[in-house]
Order: sequence, then C-alpha cells, then structure tokens
Amino acid sequence: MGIKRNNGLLYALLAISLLALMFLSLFIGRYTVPPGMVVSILLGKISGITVTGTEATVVWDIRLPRVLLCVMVGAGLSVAGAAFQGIFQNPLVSPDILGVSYGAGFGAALGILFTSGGAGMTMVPAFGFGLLSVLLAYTISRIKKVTSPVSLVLAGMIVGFFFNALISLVKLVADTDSQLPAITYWLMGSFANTTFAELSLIAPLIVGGTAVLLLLRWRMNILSMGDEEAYSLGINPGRLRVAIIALATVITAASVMVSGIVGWVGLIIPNICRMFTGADHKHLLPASLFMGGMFLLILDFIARVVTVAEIPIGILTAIAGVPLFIYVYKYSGWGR
Amino acid sequence: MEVEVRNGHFGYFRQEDILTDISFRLPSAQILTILGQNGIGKTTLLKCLLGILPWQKGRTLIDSEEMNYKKHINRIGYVPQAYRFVFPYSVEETVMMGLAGKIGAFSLPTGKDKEQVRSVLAEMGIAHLQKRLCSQLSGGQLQLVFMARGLVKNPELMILDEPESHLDYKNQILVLKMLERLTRVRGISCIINTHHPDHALRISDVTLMQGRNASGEATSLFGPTADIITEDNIKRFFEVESKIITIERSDHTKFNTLVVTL
Repeated sequence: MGIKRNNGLLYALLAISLLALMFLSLFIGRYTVPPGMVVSILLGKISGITVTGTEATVVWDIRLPRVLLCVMVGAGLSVAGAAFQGIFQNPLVSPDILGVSYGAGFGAALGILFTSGGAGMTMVPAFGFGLLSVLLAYTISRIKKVTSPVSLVLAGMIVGFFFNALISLVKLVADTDSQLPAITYWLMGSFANTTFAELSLIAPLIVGGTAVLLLLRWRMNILSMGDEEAYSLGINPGRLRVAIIALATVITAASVMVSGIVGWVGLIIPNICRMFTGADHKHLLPASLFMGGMFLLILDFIARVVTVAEIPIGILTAIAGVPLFIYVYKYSGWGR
Repeated sequence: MEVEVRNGHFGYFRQEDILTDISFRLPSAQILTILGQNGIGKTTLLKCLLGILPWQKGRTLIDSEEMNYKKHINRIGYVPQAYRFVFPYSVEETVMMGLAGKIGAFSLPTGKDKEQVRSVLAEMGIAHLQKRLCSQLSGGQLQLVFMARGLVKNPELMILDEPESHLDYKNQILVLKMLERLTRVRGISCIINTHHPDHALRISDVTLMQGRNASGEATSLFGPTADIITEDNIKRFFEVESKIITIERSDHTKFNTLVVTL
C-alpha cells in the first residue's frame, strides 16, 4: 500500500487490456474466426455494407452482443458494488445486499411462470420487484426512530431471504418439464443467447446509471465517513444516499433482467481495485469499471470455450470469487 | 466570528436532560473552553452547536443572527475526536474532504484545491505525511490530520472535541500552541472541549463548565476563564481538591496552572 501510485498509467493499462480482451473474445471460441476477418466484418457492418456468411453471424449477431453485455454487466455491478460499499461504510457489502438481485430474480421467475419465458415479460417484473425490494428494505430500516447504515444492510438481507423463499415457491409450482429448468438455468446466470434487442433494452439503464455514479464519485468519499461526519463537513447525506442507492439498484436490476443473478462481482472487484488505487472513490470507481468488465469477460470466455456444456456464469463467479475474496480479505487494509 | 448560545436545552430521552439552560457568548478571535467530566455532555453540546442535533429549546446566534446550517457550515471547521476510518484514505485525501462544502456534487477537486490542502499541511507541519495512509499514522499525527481537515476551508470558527486528550505531553503542547496561534494570528474563534482544567487555564479567554448538582440535574457556569476555574468550582464540578498556582518560566513570563492535591 505504500507504493507510489500512478493512476493515469493504471487507467491506460486497464483500458487497453479491456479492449484487447473484447477483441480476443470476438475471434476465439468454439468456432474460430481469423482476426483479420473479425476486423473486416466489424468495419463492414459499421459502414453499412452487407456482410454475410457464417463468420459474420457468429461475430456480429452472436459474439458481439454477448461481449458487450458481459462488459456492461461486469462494469455496472462493480461500480454499483463500490458505491454501496462506500455509502454503507462497509467493504463487505455488494448489490445483493439490498435484496435487489433476489427481488429481481423473483420477478423474472414469475414472468417465466406466467408467460413461459417471453423475453420482455420477464424483464418488466424483474425490474419492478428489484425496485420494490429496495423500497421494502429502505422502509424496514426506518421503522425504528434511530437508524444507522447498518439497519439498512440488515433490512436488505431480510428482504433477500424473503424473496429467496418466494423464488422457491415459484419453482415449486412451476411446470417441471419446461418452466423449472428455464427458471433454474436463468437464475444461475448466463450470457448465452444475448441479442441486440435485449442489449438495447438494458444498455441505457446500465450505461446511464454507471455514468451518473461516476460523476458523483468524489462525493462518495464524504458519505463514506458516516452521516454525522458528512453533516459537519457541510454535506447533507440523506438525499444523496437515496439517489446513489436508486442508481445502483437500477444497474443491478437491469443486469439481473438479462443475465440472471451474477453474484460476487460487485463484492470482489471494488476490494481488489482498492488495493491498487487506494480508497479514494475518484479512482476506485473508474478502476472498478474496467476491472469488472474484464473479470466477467474472462469468466464468460471460460464458460463458453473451456467446457463442452456451457457452465452458467453465476457458478463460475462464485467459484472464482471465493478464493479471490479470501486473498483480498487477507491482504487488504481492513479488519486488521 | 462571534458565537452566542441562549438557553440551550437538549436530552436524548424525555426524562433526562443532558444540557439544561446552556448560555454563553464567545467574542470574535477568542478561545472558549468547555470543561467537564467524561460523559457530562460536552460532545453533545458541540453537536447542538453545529446543528447535527437540534436544540430542544434555545438557540444559537452567529454574529447576532440565527444560526443556519446551510449558510454558516462552510465558515465553521469541526474537528471530532480522532478515530480510524473504515477505508484506508491517505492524508491528502482525508484533508481534501474538509473542502466538501465548496466542491460540487458532480465535481472533482481542482489543482487549486490540492494547493490549499498542501499549504494547510505545511502550516500544520505535516507536509511530509501527505501521501501516507491515515491507518499508518500515530495518534498524534492523526489528530493533526483531523485539525488540518477542519482548517483547510479557512473557517472563521473552529470547533474541536478534546483535541489533546489522547496525545503525549509534547503533542499536547503542540496542539495548544497551534490553537493559540490560529486565534491570535489568524483571528479564528475556537471552541474546545477538554477535561484538562490546566489546558483551559493556559489558552482560553472564556470557559463554560458543565456538571451536575447534588440532585443530579445538569448545571453549568460561564464566564472569563480566571473567574470560572477556581479551586471551589473544581471541587464542585470535578469532585477533587486542587490548588491553582502561578509558575514563572525561565524567561520571566508567568502562567497559572492547576494541580490536583487529592
């Protein structure tokens, strides 16, 4: 931690690595497309020339939306995680904390149950219940006169358990031949079968939410000192905290809508980044954005290339997340 | 900045009043010390002053007008008792937070803000700590960082919660001298909580003494420091016998101090 930091160089490295990984993901896969052809397909599509053939379909219609979604979800969840950790003064929380993931998960499961999986019909309830779970958590945390950030964390966990139970209920009544596998598979998280239509639906939410959080990043330092400190430093923390929670929730719900519950990313990535950039959110958020994108991209690459049967990404993030978390827990500054 | 409190009352629960009928007036560029035993409500009083806690009765006047959080907070530097943060912020990052009221919600600190942080660190004599993490500092260094954070916005009033309580002798004197200089040279008014009557005697102009009477009710005294810190009052408020003595330094200047004789 005592090393002199050069954040400009760090950003440049992160950005270049992310772009390189994205490009690699386009031509490496079960169906290999030569790099030169990837470039010509991309250039052709962007300039409006019709490019046809299997390669074009693989690169443009299958891989590109998947890669973009992967980066967006990884970056969004990591920024949301860093924001949650900052405002709750707790490096051990993540987007799951407010029960958002489980609320959204329940909504989508309901959608599958009633419509047998029409894409739009899973998204609307996922988003609605994601937001509902935050509102619930927020309301529960305020039933006592004296509130602290910890009461909100606790309330979020309670809401998470509640929606988890409801998800089990949906699974119980779901049709075991078609709906149950669909729900189970979707809940485990996957980037397979991403289309540009899906992408265009959630991209504004994730990109917009992340952009505003990035703009607010220095203010997060003040909120991370606690309410009384913020107040004495000249900042009224109440409304700002609610705004940041809402933005991080929008990002999380949008991610869950298209890719299921992808856990661990929002918890681990900010902690790893903090070891490089220090605690200042001015640097922590941009670094989390790049690292989160890369992390999911690598895991998704493993998911679709290394194994014959595609492993759901949620399982991989958990498997990779646990050892990483233990490492971070041992070497990071907190909890000494 | 002139600060006046008129008949301030506060209690966390309805039955028990922590602060009853607090009144004082601190003229510009003077030092007020608030004295009292641990747990008597000194920190609560500072929070009421800042507007973090609301007076249940009474009011605060700043330069003869009603205290208004939005209007006045950026002219007041608050220094809490030093504590360790959850996140490992560096000294520079921590002190920068003192400028929060001047940096917009969607903005980042500018080069000018960084310059201001650097100059306050130099003024406090801790420029060499700029890049260090607060988690690696000693208690005395951390206290100076907190003071720098309160001072960086060039306040007209500094409110400090027991700034010298966890320091060794050398650092205690360092902090007291720093406060005297801020007041005499830069004209900043200071309000300082302390449980050391001898420190109050050394630097303050006026003193508010908080305590409880025989029936357990909160009570307080206010006046010029020399009139308030007397052997009688120390016995009443601190429950110890003491003697106030005048000491002559080697350069023939004199000062009063208090020695506990029991």
